[in-house]
Amino acid sequence: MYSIEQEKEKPYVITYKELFFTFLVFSAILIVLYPKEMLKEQILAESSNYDLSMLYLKNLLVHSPKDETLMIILAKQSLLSGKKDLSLRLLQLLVQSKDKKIHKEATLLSYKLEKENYFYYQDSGQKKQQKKTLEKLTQLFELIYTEKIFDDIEYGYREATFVNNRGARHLFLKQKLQNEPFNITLLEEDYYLEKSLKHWKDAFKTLQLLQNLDIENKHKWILAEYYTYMDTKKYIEAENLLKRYSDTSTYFSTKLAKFYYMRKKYLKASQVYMQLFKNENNYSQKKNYFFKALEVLQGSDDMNQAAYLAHKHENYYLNDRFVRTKIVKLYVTVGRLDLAQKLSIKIMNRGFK
Amino acid sequence: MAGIGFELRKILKEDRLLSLTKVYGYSAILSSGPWVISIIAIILVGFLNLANLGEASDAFRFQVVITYAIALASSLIITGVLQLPFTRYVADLIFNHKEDEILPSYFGAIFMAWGLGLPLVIPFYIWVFEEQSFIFIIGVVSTFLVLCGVWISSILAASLKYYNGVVWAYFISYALIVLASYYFGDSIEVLIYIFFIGNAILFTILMTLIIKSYNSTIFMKIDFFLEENFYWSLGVAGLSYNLGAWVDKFIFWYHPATGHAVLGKLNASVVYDMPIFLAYLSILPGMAIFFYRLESDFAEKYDLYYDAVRSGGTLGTIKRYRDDMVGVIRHAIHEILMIQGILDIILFLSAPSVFKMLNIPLLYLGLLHILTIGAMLQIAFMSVLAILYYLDRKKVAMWLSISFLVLNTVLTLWSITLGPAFFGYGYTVSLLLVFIASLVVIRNEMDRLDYETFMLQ
Repeated sequence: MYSIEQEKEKPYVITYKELFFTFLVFSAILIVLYPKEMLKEQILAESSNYDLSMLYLKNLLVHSPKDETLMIILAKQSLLSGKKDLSLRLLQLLVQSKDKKIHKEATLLSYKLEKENYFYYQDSGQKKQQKKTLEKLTQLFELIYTEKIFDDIEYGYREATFVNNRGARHLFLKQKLQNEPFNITLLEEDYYLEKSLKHWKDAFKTLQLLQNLDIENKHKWILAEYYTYMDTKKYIEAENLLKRYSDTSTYFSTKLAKFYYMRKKYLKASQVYMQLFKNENNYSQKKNYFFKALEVLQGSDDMNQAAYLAHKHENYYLNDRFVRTKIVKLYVTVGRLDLAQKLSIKIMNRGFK
Repeated sequence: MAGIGFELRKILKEDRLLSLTKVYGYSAILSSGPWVISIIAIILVGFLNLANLGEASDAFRFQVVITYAIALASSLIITGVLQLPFTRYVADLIFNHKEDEILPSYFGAIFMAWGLGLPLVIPFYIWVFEEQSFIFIIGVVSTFLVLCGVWISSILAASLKYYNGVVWAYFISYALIVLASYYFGDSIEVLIYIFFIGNAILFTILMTLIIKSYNSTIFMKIDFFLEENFYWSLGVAGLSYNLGAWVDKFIFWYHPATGHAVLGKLNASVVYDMPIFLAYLSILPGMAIFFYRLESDFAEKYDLYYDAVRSGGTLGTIKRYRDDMVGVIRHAIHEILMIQGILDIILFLSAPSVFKMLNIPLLYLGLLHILTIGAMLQIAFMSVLAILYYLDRKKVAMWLSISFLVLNTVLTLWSITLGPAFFGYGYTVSLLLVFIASLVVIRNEMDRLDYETFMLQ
């Protein structure tokens, strides 16, 4: 028999309590799964499907049109997916931003975009456009440099080189050198930049470092120091430098003689050549130095000095027809006919023709 | 059509661990049929084709064309209207011991689908693909025809004693599609014809099994479609439900904020398509559970209940069988929610690494989470609807389906205007609302079942 108790205990597909609980649980799940905060991070991290992230960004921007963070992400993604027009329009707005971070990113992105344009014009042979873009790039770089926007030293240095901004390049190079103070390549680059920027004091300091560190090329750096003294008209320092090395180096002795000659110190130049003459054993080389010594003295106002030097060594070269003829000609040129006559007789007496 | 239920229970009685897997495996394939399997195949073809031919591949455009063919041809325009009335008509034929009319009605349903569909889809495809070749349009129309056939055949195939052959038919035809696409699918036309041939093979096998299962003296009957026999409320319910299930996709495809043109006038949504298809894949276990519980447990209790009613059983027996039915429904819904819930948690935890491995953008994760919950609610809602159809509550099922269509349309459009963080909420919230409503309905229907059975007949 079916009873009233059975009716009371009859089961339900779902009780109202369970129904309410089910609704509550699913509602809670949907609230927990709400992905707004997660979206921005994932859009930023997305690197495989730019169309997808751009679509998300455009939709996000419709609802938060003043969100500059979203705009900058969209500009970046547009640039990566090749939609330059959209990127350019966004960046023109964002460069004006009062938010320093946004302004900085927008300026850097604008620079990147213009650089891409530059290479595009280069590849397609549009020289006028290429030139214009380079001008824009140079201006943008100047802004980036003066506002100290570059964080990446390497990137800054590379771009400074690209737009040929030597000041910026030097600044980034100095920062690089702080990390690698003994890097010879960087020091060399630093020296040439300082020289071209006429930062002489720094250039001399760099040269000192190079001379100490780059032992293999020490000679080259001493010469560089010499030329730098010459460029800065520091003749005394230049002379001292050459003197310091002339005792041990024929090259620097010759350089010193030339320096004296250039500075119209003919006697000193001649003395240096004669010192080389004395030190030299090779006959032909000796003769060469002797001629040089005579030559520089001939450049002076008092040509007797040359005649005197020639006279002093005429016996040594009496057997050398070429030299003795040259000496006779020298005597005649400087008006010392007496010496010319004496030497001629001496030659004849010896039976030379 | 609980015949398959007996077969499934028979396998389960073998009492081996493998039996359980077998039962749920058969259930998954028989319940999801061409719907989920074709989605898996299309995605697989896409992956393989992309791997094989790279960016030059037509795989993406192929996926879009076939999705439209499935959505428009098979689910919405034609079979959406015919499926439920035809199922009900066949059930009536079985109840009235008129099995010999099933086969002619089956052919009638196919020809009705083709007869109604062709005048609609030919001008539609010519308009949509105006820039495509004649061969291409022929291929798409043929695919439409064969998919209509497969869809209607699937209704009967799920109840066949040759269920083993049905499962093999799906496996062979889709394996053939995937393999042929990999080796020969170098253009969209070839891919479409491969898909057409694969489905034509499936259609032929299913038709052969159906012919083998039912006797007939005449070739074709369209009685079920005549006014006095046609269940319009079921037709509207089927159409509304299918439209409701696809409307969010259409909105995302054609909304200017989320869609983009792919081929001719066909659009796709880079935001929505991938996560919604992945979410649908996640409901395969839920569908298997639902199919098994409905076709075996519920059908058994249902038969007992109505046998008791018809044969003059005592009130106590009738009420006990009613309580058993309530228990089965309660258990089935509970089981679907629990198992799908566990599966969703596993999916949420593993998705980031799987996405990274397959190079799928992680940006899809947020939407995938929402849509997976939505898909879970859809399978639960579908289960309640199926029980309502069993109990012959056609009108209330129709109104629930219409509510789903309206809510999904309105809320999806609204969610898009609210911004990307709300994408997917339209679909999921609409399903939460209709699922809760359907639970209230089924609770009340079961509560009043005895009264309605005796007083309103």
